[in-house]
Amino acid sequence: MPAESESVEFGSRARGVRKALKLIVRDPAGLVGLVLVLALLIVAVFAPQLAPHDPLAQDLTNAKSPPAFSDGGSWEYPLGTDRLGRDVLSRIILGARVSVTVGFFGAAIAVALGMVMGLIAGFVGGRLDKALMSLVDLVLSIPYLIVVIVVAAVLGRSLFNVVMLFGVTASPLFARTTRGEVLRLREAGFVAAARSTGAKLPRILVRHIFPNLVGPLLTLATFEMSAMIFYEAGLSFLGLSVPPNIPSWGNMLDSGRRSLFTGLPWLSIFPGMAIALTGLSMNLLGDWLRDILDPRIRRARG
Amino acid sequence: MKTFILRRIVQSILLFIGVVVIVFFLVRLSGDPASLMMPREASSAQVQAFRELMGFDRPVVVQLVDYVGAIFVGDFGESLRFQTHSLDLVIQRVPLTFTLATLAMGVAIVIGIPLGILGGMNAGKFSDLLARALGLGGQVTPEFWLALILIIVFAVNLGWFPSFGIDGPISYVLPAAALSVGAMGRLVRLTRSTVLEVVGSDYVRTARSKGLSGVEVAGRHIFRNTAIALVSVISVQYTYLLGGAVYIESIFALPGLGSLLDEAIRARDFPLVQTITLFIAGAAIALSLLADLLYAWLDPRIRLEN
Amino acid sequence: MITPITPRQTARAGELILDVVDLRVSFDSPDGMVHAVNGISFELRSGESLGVVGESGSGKSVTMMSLVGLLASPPASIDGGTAILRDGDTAIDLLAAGRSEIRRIRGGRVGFVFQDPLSALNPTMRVGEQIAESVRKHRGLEDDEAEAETIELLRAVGIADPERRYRSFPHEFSGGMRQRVMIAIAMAGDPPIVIFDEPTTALDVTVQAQIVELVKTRLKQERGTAIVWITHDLAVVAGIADRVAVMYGGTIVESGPVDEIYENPQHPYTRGLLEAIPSADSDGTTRLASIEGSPPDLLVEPNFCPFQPRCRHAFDRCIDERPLLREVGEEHLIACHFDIDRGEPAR
Repeated sequence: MPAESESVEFGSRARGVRKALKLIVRDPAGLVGLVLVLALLIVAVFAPQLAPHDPLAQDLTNAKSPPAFSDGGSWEYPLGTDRLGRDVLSRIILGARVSVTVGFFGAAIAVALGMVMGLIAGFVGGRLDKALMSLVDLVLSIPYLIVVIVVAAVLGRSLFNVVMLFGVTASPLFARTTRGEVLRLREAGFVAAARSTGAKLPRILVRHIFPNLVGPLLTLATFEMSAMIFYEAGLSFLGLSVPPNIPSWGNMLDSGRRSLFTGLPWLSIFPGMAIALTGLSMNLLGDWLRDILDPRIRRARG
Repeated sequence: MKTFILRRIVQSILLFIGVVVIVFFLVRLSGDPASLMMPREASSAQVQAFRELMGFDRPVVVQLVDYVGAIFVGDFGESLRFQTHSLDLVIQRVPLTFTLATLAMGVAIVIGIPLGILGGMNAGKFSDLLARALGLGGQVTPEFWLALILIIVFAVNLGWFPSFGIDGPISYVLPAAALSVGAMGRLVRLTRSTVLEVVGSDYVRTARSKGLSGVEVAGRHIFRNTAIALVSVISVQYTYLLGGAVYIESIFALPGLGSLLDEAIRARDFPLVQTITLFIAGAAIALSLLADLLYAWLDPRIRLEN
Repeated sequence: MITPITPRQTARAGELILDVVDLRVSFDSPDGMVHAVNGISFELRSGESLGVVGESGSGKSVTMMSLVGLLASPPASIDGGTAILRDGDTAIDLLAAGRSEIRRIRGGRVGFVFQDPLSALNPTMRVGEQIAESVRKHRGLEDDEAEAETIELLRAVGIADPERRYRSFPHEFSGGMRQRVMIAIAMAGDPPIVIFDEPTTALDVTVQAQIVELVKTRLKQERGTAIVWITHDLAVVAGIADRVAVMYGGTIVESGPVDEIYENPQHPYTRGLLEAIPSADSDGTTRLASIEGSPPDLLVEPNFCPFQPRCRHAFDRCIDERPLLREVGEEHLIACHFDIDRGEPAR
């Protein structure tokens, strides 16, 4: 039997929600991911309230104290302090703000830019499409980290620059996905069918294209957010992201590295754990989203 | 097949030219390359002198043509900091980075692919869960963090390995281990999904319907098709490793391309930065070309295209 | 040179070789348990051709694939029934057989031809090798002899220049030729039964006719192979089957000799199917007849007649009680509570 193509209309959203609930039961990992990501968002938004100490405050009398559970440590500074006596836990909490800002806004920009490019490429087609896609291939052929490092170095240290950088460089991926969906729907005849009933382009976009874009783009955005947080940490580590007075997980790792041989391992351990945990939860969430938002279900052979 | 090879080579050359253009403009992103490359304390007179010296006051198009032309004659400019041809500096550092990346790739392949195959062949069972967990774990662990942890545990506390510099082959162990983790994780996941796809394919069903044993099906049908699909995967992962080398080399103080890039950036030596970028991008393009050619040779559908 | 007909020691023509009783198969899906096959029973005799007709979702493929364990075992599970294969003096229950036994049977006693020959052939392996694999396994021949035998098989299925074509890859063939290769693979082990799962659906009509002709000549007539031909196309079945079983909602609703079924269909569904076939000599003004309603929901366990929602003759017994197969003629069975000729519920 020829493969069936489907377009997601608004009516089947209700079915999607019910299936999502069933999938929570089947895939607890996705739920864990969702909870952790939400926790991260809350921490980032309410960071100043949640941090037990002022992240920037120096307390030299308590400098270099280890985490609470090893000897010499106290619960006043649960994860220890750095060389200037700043509380590691509070700095990690504040550092979440940098990561979430970069991830969220970077992904938002990438989605917006990429979607526009992809729609244009997919609908207009022809040489414009070829030109855009060649540009996409070109940008994607340079190892991503190198591009990111060089551009960050050139633009200078600022959160804004980093967000824009990630937003722009990740947009090709979203452009490709959008264009793919548009082409798929065009080929499956949905666009022609809609046009034949007299629908104009904006209506086609809203009723047919966008509902089908939400799934793939949301899933991709989740994974890209995770990647951006990862790369931002790397940039911070190299001193290329936010200015040094703003704590970020990456630059905390950088100072941890400077203290490697002076016996302050907790300065390296905890910020990295934050990065890994964030990546883990976003990946779990992304996998789960991919499962529930994919409208193309394989039916059992009958 | 011949037309394919030719087309691919031409495509790669064009791609490289495109990359040269991009690298040219990258340095001009903030507007004025002269003030970018000069130290902050420099006076505007010094900056202007520098600008004229480097030809940055000429029209952009002229500079671009000049630059591209120079690249193709092999003139990559001089490093500001080292005062020597930047290409020479780059080539000096290549063997170490190449060794490191290859070692890391080797580790990733030796651990990642069998794990991925195990997971794919036993989908849903415990070994699959284990494979997926390890794959995900590898993927989300930052290499620079793992490097620090490895140093703390194995170099500082246990003293088994050196924590910096080159002291014989033992110096590569920790760096390669740290670098390989991300690639290993991704390889587990990608191998697993490839195997799943192949295992669920119609031709594997046909093979089973002939009464072949699990081993025969795996060896003759699953293995070959999986291996072919993994060729491009491995080449992509290698280019990721070239990027990750920047962190690892700088943490372990290894004199490779990655640490050179780090130093060049800190010194605002952008002509050198450009050269390193071009080199790494060129390597990535060449690698991708090689992978495509290998794939074309292995897959009879492309090899026999007339 | 055509391979001579091997007189099979397994069964004389007409003898029962496959006896399936009350087969039940279900699938575990995200939406719940799908009851794909609900108590199917049928017989296959040596040398006979059984056409299995039904729409997609009727359970026809699942039934046949479950016989040789080709269903992925989660999510599929065989919930009951027996499938006795008679092999010379021995009889084996296919559904209870061990792994090495099933492997011996696959290709050696039961051959399979699948629907889409492009995806069903390994794209990176030469065509000859894919056939020779089975020849070596089931005929015990060494490499050179296996190659020679494969070339003869290729010739037998109508592929010209078989010595050269042995080394070709699947994508170098047309759809019809690829299906011939699949048939050669099925023939390689010289099995007494070959199951065809919608083998001509993906091919165009002229090629379809050639394949049917090939199967009739080489398999049915020359080798006396028993054939199960699964399809949704009633027209094709008429050209090859001796007997027909019509399936709906995971059950057989009617079975009998092909002429009986076509001339005197007794089940409302079969009648609906036959009426829906457009006639070549219609004037183009009559509406195409179709069966109202939509396919059954297999998530519900059918303790009632699966066709009942769409049947114009349905009455209360159809909802309360699942109809079992009963005889309405010589070897002609239907599963229905209604007597369609008399226009009243059956006695």
